[in-house]
Amino acid sequence: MLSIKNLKATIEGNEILKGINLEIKPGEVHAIMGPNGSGKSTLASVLAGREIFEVTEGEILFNGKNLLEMAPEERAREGLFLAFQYPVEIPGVSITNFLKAALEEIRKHRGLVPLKGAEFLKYMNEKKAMVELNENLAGRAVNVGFSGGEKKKNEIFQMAMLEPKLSILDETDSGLDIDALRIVANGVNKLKSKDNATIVITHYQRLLDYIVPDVVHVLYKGRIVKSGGKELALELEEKGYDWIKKENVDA
Amino acid sequence: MEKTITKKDELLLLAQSGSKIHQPESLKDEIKHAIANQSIPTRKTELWKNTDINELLEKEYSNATYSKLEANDLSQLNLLSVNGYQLVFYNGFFQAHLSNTANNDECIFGPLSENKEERIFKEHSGKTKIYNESFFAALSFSAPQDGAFLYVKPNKFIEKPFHVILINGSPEKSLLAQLYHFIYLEKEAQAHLIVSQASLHTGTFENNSCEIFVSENAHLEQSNFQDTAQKSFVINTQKIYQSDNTGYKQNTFSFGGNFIRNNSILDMDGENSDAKFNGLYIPKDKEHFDNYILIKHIQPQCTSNQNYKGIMDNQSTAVFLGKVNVARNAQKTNAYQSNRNLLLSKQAKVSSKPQLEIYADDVACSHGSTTGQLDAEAIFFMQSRGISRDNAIRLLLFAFASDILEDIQHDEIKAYVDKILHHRFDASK
Repeated sequence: MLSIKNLKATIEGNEILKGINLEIKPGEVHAIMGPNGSGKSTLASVLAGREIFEVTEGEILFNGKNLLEMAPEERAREGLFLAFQYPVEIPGVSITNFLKAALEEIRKHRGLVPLKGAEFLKYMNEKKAMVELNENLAGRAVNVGFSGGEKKKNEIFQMAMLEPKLSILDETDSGLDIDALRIVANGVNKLKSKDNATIVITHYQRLLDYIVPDVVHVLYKGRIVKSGGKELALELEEKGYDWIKKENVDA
Repeated sequence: MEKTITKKDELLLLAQSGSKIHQPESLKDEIKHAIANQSIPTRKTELWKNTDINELLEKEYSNATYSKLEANDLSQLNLLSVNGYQLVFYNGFFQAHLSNTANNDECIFGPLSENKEERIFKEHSGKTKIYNESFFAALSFSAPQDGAFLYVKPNKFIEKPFHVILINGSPEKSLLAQLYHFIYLEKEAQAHLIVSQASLHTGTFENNSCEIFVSENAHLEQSNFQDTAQKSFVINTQKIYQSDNTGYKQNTFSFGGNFIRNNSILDMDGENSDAKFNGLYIPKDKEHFDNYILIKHIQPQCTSNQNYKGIMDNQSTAVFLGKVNVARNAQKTNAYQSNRNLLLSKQAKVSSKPQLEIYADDVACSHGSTTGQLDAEAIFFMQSRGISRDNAIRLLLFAFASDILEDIQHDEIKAYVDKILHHRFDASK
């Protein structure tokens, strides 16, 4: 599904990603862990197409297509979804209009007709129930006046609405209390299927108790320095990141 | 002995020779005085600091002559079309064949040149002393070619809007078009006035003055649509007088025009009245749109609200100068002012100055001004959900203007504004 080869990326001339290699197959959950500043969020941003990062080398194939040649909206229409670390507030744009516009463009890309008013609202309510979003969204602007937890739940709700093939959760767990974390994880688990894949980017092991990864990667100084099963996350939790740092002093 | 003719004299002579409306004799001395005491504003004039009128003054103007405006020419301008009374003026000349006047037991609506209610006009014209507001106001008031006359009788609620259409433009010469409009609502009357300004050709200086009287318990809504040509100059000065328990609401949409200056001065001289001013200006290219609002709270228990928003593209410039003056006697005044601007280009410039002058002690007043750019992070966020960049920008622009759009009560007007904005926001990506 996703194939990253020797990916290098810079921001304002500083190289952040220094040759990433990653293969993800349908049905898999990959966790990417690493200390602050290791390049985790940069990787998520580059995958989603954030312009401030410049890809200097390497390639990314998404379902066989060259991801780097696509605009951010094309990536989303092809089935890529980024749950933002800091979801953006958009005053004056209602959640309903926002999701309607998004779903319409995505459905159009997939050769589907737009959902009619009532159908759309029904679909929206189903997805809300699925991700345990109880808030009344009618008349509310995107993320405006939302608490941190509500914003993250809203990201998972959008993910449910848009039915992506590959979801990237960028530190979705940061700042969440245990109840919100469970709800978020439940949502992600319900959306999991043998056809889609998930990348969970996190600093902590906690989320991985709920979303169990098939593979755990450790990102350090812009490279994946270690990959393993879910037990690697536990090991990191126990020992911290220092042993990774020591191992890679000479790298 | 030779005397050089100044621009002021030139404009005055021109206006006087083109004028066909006589203001009441009783005002003669005051008008003379107003003209003598006011000069053409310069960048040193307090209220014109950020307004460059040099280009306007460089032109040599001549008087317009009557020219028939063809129905086809009017319809190609795509103006707001509403089922109501209508007056059309072309370079200050009334176009009877395109108009739908009224003279019945509810209201009188027609050109000043044919006005049938001489008594009301003589009693009230000039009563707001509009001629003291600026040289241009004095010029227009003292020597108009024609203008709209609206009189709504006591206790009448007129559902049909009164639409004044002002078309300017000349294919060759630069013309001076001068109009004075007189609007009078009697006690407990209610009406909706619409003023559409547009151009057929380029190169006219259209100088409007307008006096509006809202008598006790009356309500007036005014909607202004401005879409004039790239080489035209438009100055609108209006003075509104509100009595007790009245409501006045003005929505001004400036969509296009080389130079537009709107001056609105409001005397809230009755208790328990409401006034609301909404404005949306979206200049592009090198257009200059200018809004000056002065609200004078003279009596207690009144509320005024100004909400102006600008979306500025290319090298356009705009000015918002909003003043609220609360007199010592005007206790329990509520006054709010807000001006927000969105700059779509690095070359666009706006000068925003909301001002409060308060002499009463028991009042609630606030003002604010912001100027910023489109939120790049919000655009990326929407793109990451599959929304195209163009669509994301359009959503943000509509969101920015949303409170002004939501405050439009009439479906026809809402649809019209929506259509124009869609067209414009599609173009400014």
